[in-house]
Amino acid sequence: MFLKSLSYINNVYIAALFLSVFCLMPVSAQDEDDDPDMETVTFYLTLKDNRTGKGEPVSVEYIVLKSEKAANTLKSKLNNVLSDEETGKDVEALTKLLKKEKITFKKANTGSFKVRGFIGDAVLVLPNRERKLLDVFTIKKGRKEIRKMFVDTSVQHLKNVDIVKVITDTSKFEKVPPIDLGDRVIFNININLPAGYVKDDSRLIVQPVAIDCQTDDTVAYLNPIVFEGERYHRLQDKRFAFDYKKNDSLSRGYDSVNVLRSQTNFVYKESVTFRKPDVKKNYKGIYYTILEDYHHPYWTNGGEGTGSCLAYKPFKFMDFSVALKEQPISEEFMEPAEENYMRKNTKLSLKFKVGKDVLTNDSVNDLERNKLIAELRSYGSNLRVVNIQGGASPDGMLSSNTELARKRSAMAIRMIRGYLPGDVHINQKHPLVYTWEDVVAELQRRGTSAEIMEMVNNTISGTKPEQVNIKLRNMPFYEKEILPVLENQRIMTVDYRYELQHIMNAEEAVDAYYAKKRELLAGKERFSNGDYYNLFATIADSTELDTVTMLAYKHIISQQAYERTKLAPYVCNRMALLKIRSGTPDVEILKPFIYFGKKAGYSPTDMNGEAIMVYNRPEIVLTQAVNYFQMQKLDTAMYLLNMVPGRAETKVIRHFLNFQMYYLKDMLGQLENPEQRRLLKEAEAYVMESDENKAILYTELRKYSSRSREEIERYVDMLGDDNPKKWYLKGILWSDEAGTEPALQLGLGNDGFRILTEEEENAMMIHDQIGYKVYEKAKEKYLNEHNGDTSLTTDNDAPHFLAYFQHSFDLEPSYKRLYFNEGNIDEKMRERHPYRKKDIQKYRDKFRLIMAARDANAEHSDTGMETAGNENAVR
Amino acid sequence: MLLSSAGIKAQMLSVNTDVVQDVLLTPNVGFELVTGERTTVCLNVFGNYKPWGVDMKIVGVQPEFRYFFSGRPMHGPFFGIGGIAASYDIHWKSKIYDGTALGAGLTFGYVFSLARRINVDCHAGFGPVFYKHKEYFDNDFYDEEFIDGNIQRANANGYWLLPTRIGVSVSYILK
Repeated sequence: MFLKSLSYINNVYIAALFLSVFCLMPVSAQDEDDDPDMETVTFYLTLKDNRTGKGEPVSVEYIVLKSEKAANTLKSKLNNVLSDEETGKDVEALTKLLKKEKITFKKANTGSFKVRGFIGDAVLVLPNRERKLLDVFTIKKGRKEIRKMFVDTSVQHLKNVDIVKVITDTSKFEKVPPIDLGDRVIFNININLPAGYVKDDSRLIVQPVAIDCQTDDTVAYLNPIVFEGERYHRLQDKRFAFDYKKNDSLSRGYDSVNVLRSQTNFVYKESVTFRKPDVKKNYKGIYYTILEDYHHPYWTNGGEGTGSCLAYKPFKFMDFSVALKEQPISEEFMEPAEENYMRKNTKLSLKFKVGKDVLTNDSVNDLERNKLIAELRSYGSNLRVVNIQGGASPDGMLSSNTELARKRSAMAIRMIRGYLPGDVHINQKHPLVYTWEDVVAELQRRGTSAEIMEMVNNTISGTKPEQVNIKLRNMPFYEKEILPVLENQRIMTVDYRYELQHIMNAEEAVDAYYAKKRELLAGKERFSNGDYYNLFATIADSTELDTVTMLAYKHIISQQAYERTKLAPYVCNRMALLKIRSGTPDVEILKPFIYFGKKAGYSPTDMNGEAIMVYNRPEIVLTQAVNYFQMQKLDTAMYLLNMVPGRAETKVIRHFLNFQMYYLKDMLGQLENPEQRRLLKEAEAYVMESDENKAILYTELRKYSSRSREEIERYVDMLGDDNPKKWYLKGILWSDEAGTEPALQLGLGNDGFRILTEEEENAMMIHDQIGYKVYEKAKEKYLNEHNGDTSLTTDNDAPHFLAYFQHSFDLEPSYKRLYFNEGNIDEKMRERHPYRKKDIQKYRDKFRLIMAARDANAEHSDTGMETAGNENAVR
Repeated sequence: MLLSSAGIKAQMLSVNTDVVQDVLLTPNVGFELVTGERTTVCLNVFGNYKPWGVDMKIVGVQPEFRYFFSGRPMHGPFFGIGGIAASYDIHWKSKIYDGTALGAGLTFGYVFSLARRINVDCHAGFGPVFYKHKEYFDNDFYDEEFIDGNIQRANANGYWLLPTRIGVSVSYILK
């Protein structure tokens, strides 16, 4: 029954079969229309693989032209423009031609494409930009597809060769130092895989990794970059339910432009930016390159030969002093020069008649008086104030005791007044009135027995104060225990103050500074804030002012709550500027004077309405902005700049910011935004105003420019000899010529004498004995004249660049840290010429030689102008 | 059984029809399911009733397990291990063959990608096919004469070396 029912279906089935035939026709046929004048043609173009003989997909560029004649004309023009080997000139010439002809090629990466045109149109195809493969196809009626396998006869097919190893590892990875911009690092990816590595059915994964240079820990895995062959990608898409982007975990890194093709080499260069989690640390970017087929990796570079901890830091020495002006000293910062007084206490035990302010005839009084006067007079004119205070013990009536104490202290004053200079202030302080509790406390302090203490306490607690003494007098221990305490309380105290140092005026401060500079630098002498104010207001020499700044800063920060002192903002700002100029910015110096979230000039007040201090002074905000800028915290720098809009300095610093943001991008060819270009142009005008900046940038980025060492060195030589940056930059410039530097002309006397090396002496001894005797005499004479110092005549083999670097370290020790991560001195150079601690003296000797040669050359120079050592002159 | 032994990973699924069988008016439909990085399992069912006027009725099923050499399932060359089970009643040259057949064999084939979701699969497989059927002439009263205790018994059995699968399939990937 079931089978019989199939007979009904048969007829329906036949009809469905015919319909499905039409549905399964090539997809290209589905959208056929009835236009008799046009035809849609599908091209399937391949390139013969000379090893396998099979056709492989090929990248073609094509254009549809109106006639076969037009296509052939264009073909011959292209033939003239393209050479057999594709070069940069080809691309340029081709672009020019296409522009001239006003045509644009379309691209088909796999050689398959569809064209719809009029019957008689012609399609010109250019596979692989190979001149020999240019071809023209005419669109004809009924011709719906064109298949062709191109053969590149320029590739010779080798017969009878057994290929034992298809891939010998000839891949090249260039270890290009990254560019460290402070808050971020730009890593470079350079991949060069020869033909045979990548295939149409393979995938190439590039996984960049950021590594902490100090700890070697992996800090971050960056976004991978994925390339796939056309076949691989197609099947991968199918495998992931036709939603590759959503379902493949690596799809986010997929690069659809660079398609892998079998038997073609693969070259890829890219820059990857990594935002540093800690701006103070150094990071390197390595990248793992993995080639895999459908199921497993078949080749990897293991990360080798990629990242480097050496980095370019092109802006580290940039001079922003153009942007910043010194804050002028004003009375706002003035603090009176501090008075230095010492206070001392002593006692004056005078004996008075009972109940009176009359001294007894006791020689002890004279002794006491003389002793006090001698002590006071020992301070000479430095003695300023003497205070005398009487003491009233609790025995008897309080009021009469107090009055008696006052009179007695007045008596003491009269006693010593005549013996002291008239300008010494002698004051009577209000008598110190003791109570019976004070007596008890003193008894306890003296260790009086508990029984006596108890009796005294009982007496005091139950008796009126003026009656206590009467009761205690009857006790057996009164004379031994109580009376001494009372007598001690009646002794007068004298406290006095004398001046340690005379208060200096401005001229005196300056004189004292020069006289005691060494002690000040050693910390053995100290000035007050007011003294430093006077120095700043008086001294004009900028170098001296820098020294004063360092001393003042050290002094200021040693004080508690120093940021509230008047002079602190001025001194700290100067110090911050000094650090910026020396290339070691420090945001901590000005941090106490900045209040984020508040406006410029913010001044909080205390409970009495008095201003505590002024925050966000414009000059300090600008200096701090430059600090953050130099530390590459550009966001914070910009925030601070926005706090003080409208100032000329703000505009200039913005120029520096823009310069830093866009200059490198422009050098790397990544700046496309016209607005950014305009900002860069404006910024460049400001930045390059400074010769120092020119010297820095041309040196640091010399590999990106075509300037020669001599051209750049001209700018570097404009910097002062005391500028450590000058020598550091020269070290960079001369590193490329390490080992090939010209010999220095030594022996700088007029006779050109120099001490020969041992080999030269031996050779002379053998071949020129008369000359050798002359030489020996000249050598002895030279050594006598120079106390045996041969350092200026004996060259050593230290390379010039290390000599320059050493001198920069001697001037600025913090530069040594920069050197160890300097990208301009690559690892090969460091292996060939390592910087060794034991050779430091050698480097210093070499530097002296270079300088001596330079100076001698300058002396002998006819123009009288300084030249850059005799290094170039010798050339 | 084949499905359980391969382990279902539930990936791509396609539906197909053998065009050659279609032309022979033998409607058929098959399903292919990806089970691994290189493997699939298929199940094809077919049947016909007097196609092109030939007096025959066949119903059959063809399971198969495929392994793809290219590294991706449903792509490129493959080999398979398949089986066939069919019930038939064929009237051929005045003889009637009415029975069942069971067979197994090796299949070789190649899958082309025609479009994003459309593949064309050319395959051929051979192997022993064991049969057991009643074989008698037109005019025989087989059912009356060859009954043994009320049971109609087959009178022919054996095996042939036959194609277990041969054809060109067009498949559409569902997911």
